[in-house]
Amino acid sequence: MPSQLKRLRESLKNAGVIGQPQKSKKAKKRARQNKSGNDARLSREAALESIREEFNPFEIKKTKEKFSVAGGRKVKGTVGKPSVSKQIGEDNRRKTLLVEMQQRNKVGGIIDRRFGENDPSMNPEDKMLERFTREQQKKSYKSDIFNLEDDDEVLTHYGQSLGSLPNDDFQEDVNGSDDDLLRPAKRTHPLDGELQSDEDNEGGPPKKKSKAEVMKEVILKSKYHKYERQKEKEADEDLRDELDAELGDIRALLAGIPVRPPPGKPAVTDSGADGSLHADRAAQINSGLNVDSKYDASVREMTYDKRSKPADRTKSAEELAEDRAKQLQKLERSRQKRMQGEESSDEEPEEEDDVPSDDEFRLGKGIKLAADEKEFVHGDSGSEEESSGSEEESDDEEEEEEVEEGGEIEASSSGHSRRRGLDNDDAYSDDYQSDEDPDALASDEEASESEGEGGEDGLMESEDESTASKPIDDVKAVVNGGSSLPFTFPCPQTHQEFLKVTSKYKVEDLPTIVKRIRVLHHPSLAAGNKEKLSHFMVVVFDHIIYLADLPTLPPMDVLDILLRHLHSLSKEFPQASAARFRDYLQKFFDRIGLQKKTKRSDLVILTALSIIYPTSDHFHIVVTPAMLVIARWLGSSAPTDIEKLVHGCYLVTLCLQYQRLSKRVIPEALNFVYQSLLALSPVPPAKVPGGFPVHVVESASKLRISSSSKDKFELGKLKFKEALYPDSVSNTTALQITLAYAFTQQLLALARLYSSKTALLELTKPAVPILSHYTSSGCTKSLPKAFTTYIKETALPELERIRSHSQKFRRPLELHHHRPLPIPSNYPKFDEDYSLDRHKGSYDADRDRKELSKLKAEHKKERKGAMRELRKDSQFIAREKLKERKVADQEYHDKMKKIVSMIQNEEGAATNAYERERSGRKKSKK
Amino acid sequence: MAIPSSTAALSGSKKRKRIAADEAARKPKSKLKDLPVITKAVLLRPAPKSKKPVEPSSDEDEEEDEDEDMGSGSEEGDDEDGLASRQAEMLRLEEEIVSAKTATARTKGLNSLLEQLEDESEEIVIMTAVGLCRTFCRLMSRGQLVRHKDHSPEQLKMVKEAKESYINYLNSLGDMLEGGEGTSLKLAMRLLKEESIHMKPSEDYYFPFLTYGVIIKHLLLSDSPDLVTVFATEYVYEFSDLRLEFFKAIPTVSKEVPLSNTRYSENLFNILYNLKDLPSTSEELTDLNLYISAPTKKKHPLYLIASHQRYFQETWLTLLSRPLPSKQRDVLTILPKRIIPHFPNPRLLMDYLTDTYNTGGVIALLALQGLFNLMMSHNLDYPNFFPKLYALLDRDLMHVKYRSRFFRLLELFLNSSHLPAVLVASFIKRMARLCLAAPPSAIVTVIPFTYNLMRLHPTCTFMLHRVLGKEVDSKALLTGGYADPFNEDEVDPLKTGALESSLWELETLQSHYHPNVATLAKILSEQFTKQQYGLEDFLDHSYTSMLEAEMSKKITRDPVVEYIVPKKILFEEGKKDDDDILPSAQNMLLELWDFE
Repeated sequence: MPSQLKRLRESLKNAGVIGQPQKSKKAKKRARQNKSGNDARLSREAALESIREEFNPFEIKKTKEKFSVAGGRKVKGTVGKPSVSKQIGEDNRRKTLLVEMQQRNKVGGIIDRRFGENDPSMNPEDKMLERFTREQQKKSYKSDIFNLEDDDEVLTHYGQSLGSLPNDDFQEDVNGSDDDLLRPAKRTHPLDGELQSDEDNEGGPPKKKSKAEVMKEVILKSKYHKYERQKEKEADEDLRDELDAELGDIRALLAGIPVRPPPGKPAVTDSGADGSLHADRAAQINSGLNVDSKYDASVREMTYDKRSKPADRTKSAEELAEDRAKQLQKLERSRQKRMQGEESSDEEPEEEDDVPSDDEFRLGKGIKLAADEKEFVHGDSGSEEESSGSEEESDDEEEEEEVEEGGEIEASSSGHSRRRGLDNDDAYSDDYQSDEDPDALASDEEASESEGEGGEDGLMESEDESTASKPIDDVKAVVNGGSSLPFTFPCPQTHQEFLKVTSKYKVEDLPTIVKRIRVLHHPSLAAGNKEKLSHFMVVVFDHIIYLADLPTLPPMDVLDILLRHLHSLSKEFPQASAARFRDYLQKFFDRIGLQKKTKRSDLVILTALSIIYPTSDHFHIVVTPAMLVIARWLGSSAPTDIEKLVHGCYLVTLCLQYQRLSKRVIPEALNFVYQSLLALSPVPPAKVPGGFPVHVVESASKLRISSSSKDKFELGKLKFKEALYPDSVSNTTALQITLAYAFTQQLLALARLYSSKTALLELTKPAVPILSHYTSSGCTKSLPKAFTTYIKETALPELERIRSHSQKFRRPLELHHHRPLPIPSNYPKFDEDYSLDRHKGSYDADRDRKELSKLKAEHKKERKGAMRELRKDSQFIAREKLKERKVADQEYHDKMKKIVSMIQNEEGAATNAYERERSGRKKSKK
Repeated sequence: MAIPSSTAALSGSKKRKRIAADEAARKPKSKLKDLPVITKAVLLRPAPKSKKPVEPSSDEDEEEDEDEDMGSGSEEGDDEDGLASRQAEMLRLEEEIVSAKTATARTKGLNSLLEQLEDESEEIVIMTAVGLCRTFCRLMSRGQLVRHKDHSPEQLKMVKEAKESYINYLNSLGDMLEGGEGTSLKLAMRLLKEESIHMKPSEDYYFPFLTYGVIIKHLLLSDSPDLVTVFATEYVYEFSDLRLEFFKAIPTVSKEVPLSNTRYSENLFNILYNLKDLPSTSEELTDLNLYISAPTKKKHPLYLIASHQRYFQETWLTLLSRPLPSKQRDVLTILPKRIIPHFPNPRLLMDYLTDTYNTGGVIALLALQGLFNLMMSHNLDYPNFFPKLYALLDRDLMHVKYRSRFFRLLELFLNSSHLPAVLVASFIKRMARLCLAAPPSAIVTVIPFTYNLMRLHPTCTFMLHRVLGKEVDSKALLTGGYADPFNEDEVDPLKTGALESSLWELETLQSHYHPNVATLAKILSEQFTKQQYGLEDFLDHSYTSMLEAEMSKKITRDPVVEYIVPKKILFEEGKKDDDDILPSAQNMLLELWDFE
């Protein structure tokens, strides 16, 4: 590196300050011509200044790096020009802070905003020129069509336009016409304003309009123009159409065909119309009647009409069977899904398993339970839905009919119903083709038309069936004593009403009455029927309870039919029925809690529940509580008397019935069976086996079978009548033995039910000793032979078989074949373009934290900067103040000096004068 | 006190009457102004604090009227006439006794009154008792029941004989107490107070413990639980000194009553059972509610918590040493919270707890908590703790009321990770077995508990997942299946072989009828990602709470209804025309029941 001096020299030479550059004379001359002498001197000064700066070691600040870091790291602030930046800061402050300081405690002042006023580099001529052009531009801008007035020019006070102030003095009246609006606002004398407003009253509002109003007016105006244009165009088009219409005539004239009566609009008329119609139309047109609207209306109506569709082909028997099989399969699949409860969450189990089935089969809507209802409600078209709907309809009919048939022969019923279903289908589709149905015509409401048709039709059908198509049945009914039975009944809303209605008739007529009520108040017949029928459902429910709780056994077939009515009503009103069932369950549950007696109706209702609701569901809004209620009964009621045993036996049967498909474990049922068998055994066993609770069994010694008779005993089913109507019990011992037999059967059924469970061996562990206890010599004495042989030869071997089978297939559990959980990996993350210059925080993986640290850093930086600035500001202010002070002091001193010197002068003069005087006096004295 | 309050309760006119009557009865000026006011009515009337239901006002008025009549002597009926005359006679006798100068006169008077106590008429007996009480109080206040050194021989004799009849009187009062007579209690307590004032041997604090002992003994032998309750609520719970003296007296009194007397034990238990808010620090003993005047000494046992606790402990130990089979559960329920904290030496309960624990069953469940307290804080070493705990897991456990209490403790006991996995496995297996016969509320507790234990003892997860290796004879496995190595009857939890077994029971419960239980059971076959379940959330369930949860679910959408209506419900369906796609499940209802 060359020395400092050499470099200086070099740079001076380059700048042309020193040395004799070898330049041609021409160039020199040119240079001289170009620059005036002053300019050359100025540029030279500037060059020198820059060189000076460059070589001044104090102008540049450098920070020595301790270690140089590889990777092209650039550290900020290693090189700086402190004096320069200081100077800049100083200048800035002088411009802002100093001005502020000087203007402190001063109010007002005028800011000169005239163009170029503060620009010293402009000559006055340029200034003037520029000002003039601006003025002109502004004017031309204002004359723009949409620029009604220059906003800048409006005088304001506190942001409010002076014109809008409610001050009379400043009221400005503007003429309403457009041209006047465009004129700049002008202040007028209030009197003038009044005068003017009198003139302008009709022209426009006396007040100045706001911009929005003006714009509105403009828009209105443009709309008006547009409308006018359209009108004109339409008129043109009409004219053209007329011409077009006359073209035929002209042609005819040309071709020599005789002239027809003037046609209306040949282009529009359809081909099928004949001349007379044309004439009509023409007449109408001529008479000025607006036929178009009528026509449009009818077209619109026609769009709502159902399109006729081909009737379904009559299906062959095989096809029907296939359909039925398909439907059943589908039902079973959806049931399976519900049983697994796999797709269903706890809250809304049904929602989720309904939806996929819809999607899969696309016929899902038809399968939905209340679909018939839905069909009535929506009545929407769409061929697929329609077909499924009609299918549904037929199914529904079928069911209804099944209900109706009651205790008749079933052999004919299936074929019968199938045929009728088909008939119904045909009738249904026919309806849409023939518009002769008076009902359909009568109903004017378009939307409900199809509903009405469908519903009424179905109803008519069913009525037809009940009256006309089954004369034999009716005759039967009449023979049964229904001759006095009226055909219409009011729809009872409470059980009391129902009892009042039915009190006159025999119990056997109940099914007919219920059927007729249901038919008469079909939801599609009247608006309120739906609600009525849902109340009626509750009535049927209550009546079943009533019948069951009667002291004497009601005819079971009547109960049976009522139950089926309840079922189909529940299908129609699932929510209401579920609510009723749940209500009942809650009450039953409370009764169990209060140790009250179980009623027969409880058993019947739970039986009904097992038929009406799918008990295999994983979760069901009715079945789950019902299961809990039964389990609580079985769990909390000890078999202390024969009635409890009978009820318990029935409930265990219901448990079996409920779980026949889903095979869920009910510990309480097993416990109850064990306890009952122990309680019934003629001799207490030496050791009570198993893990079921026994504390309740001990007291019940009176239940033990005590007959010493070894006589013939017929093993049979439990008789509902004998078991549940205690008055009719003839032989307690026989009942006990039958109960024991039933419990044994239940035990086997439970074992069979749970045969696939891994803990079957544990579940049935107490069963073996209990049953073998029955075969012990102590027990056989008081048991009939048929029973002991049943246990010995059927029950025990069967149980053993199931158990050994289970043992054979028993394996240790392997529940945890899970994929191992991945261990969370924390590999270091490499950044390709990592740079040390970036702040560390910016490499943070956590985005939020990164943002936060960024913000923090920024805040810190800003704060530091602000503090520094403030500090500098205060220093500057102090400096300035000191300066001011100094100036003021200086002034003061000067002033004082002046005064002092003045006084001194005066004094001196006076002294002189005095001296002079004295010397003068002396002299004069002398 | 009952007296002022009852007078206040009287209506204005009656009050005036009453006062007149009193004045008539109290001819000579009595030193104890309030004494004669103790009439039958006052004593019988339930005090405001007593537990007896307040009778309708009309009855009370009648009663009062009667009393008034009795007192004023302006009665019409013969019977009442007799009574009034007896009363007047008695008042005269009383006066004689009090003012008697010779021993014989006084004794004669007293004896005649005492004889009246044997009368059949209850009213007379009560009247006499009241009168005697009054008499003795007056005697006491005159210092005529205490020997004094400057007494003459005649006076000494008088004192001696008066004392004898006083004791007789007390005994007959005791008999009345045993009979459940409410007035006698008031009288006795009244005498107790007077004694404490007038029969002090010195100027110091004096509690007539002998009299108190007699009262307590007879009271506890009484067959009227109401009276005992009144005594407890109005005196023992109310006054700290009475309570302390009660505790002091019980051990000595109990010695006199044979162990076989269950009535005594039950009465004592009832008093102690309802005793609450005992002071537990000396600071609480500063501002006491005392029945008799407070002792002057600062260091009196009444102000020391140690003495309170000592006598409390002795009392309880006395009670526990008596056979009390019917109340054992109650004792054990309050033992940990309300008894042990007040025992200065809880180790003394060790024997009792051990014995009850060894009886097994529910009692043992309850004893467990107390035992645990002792083990934790008092260094009790209990051999064979876990085998005994294991034995508690019996067939009834899941069905008893105290199930959650037991499971809380069991969680505590098995929470140590230092326990052998074999032992924990035995517990798990045993609980799983019990679950097969348990209500859903119990199953719901066991499953998360099992989960927690498995997290704590990962070895136990073999019970859920065991892949059989080569060491197992595959042929035998094919023919005979996997034999469960768990021995149900083994008593020692270390030897049951549960760890080699599998939890088939809990796997089976995955198909429990209650959907929530089934879902909960599935956590065992899922990956163990959760650290622990808070057992507290699962402890207190019941059928009711579960049904409530179900019932609180709103019917938001149409519930599924069985699509096919069977042709017959209660009868055999005829020929089926459906293709048998639905699995033909047997209809158990029709198989077992005949509805014809």
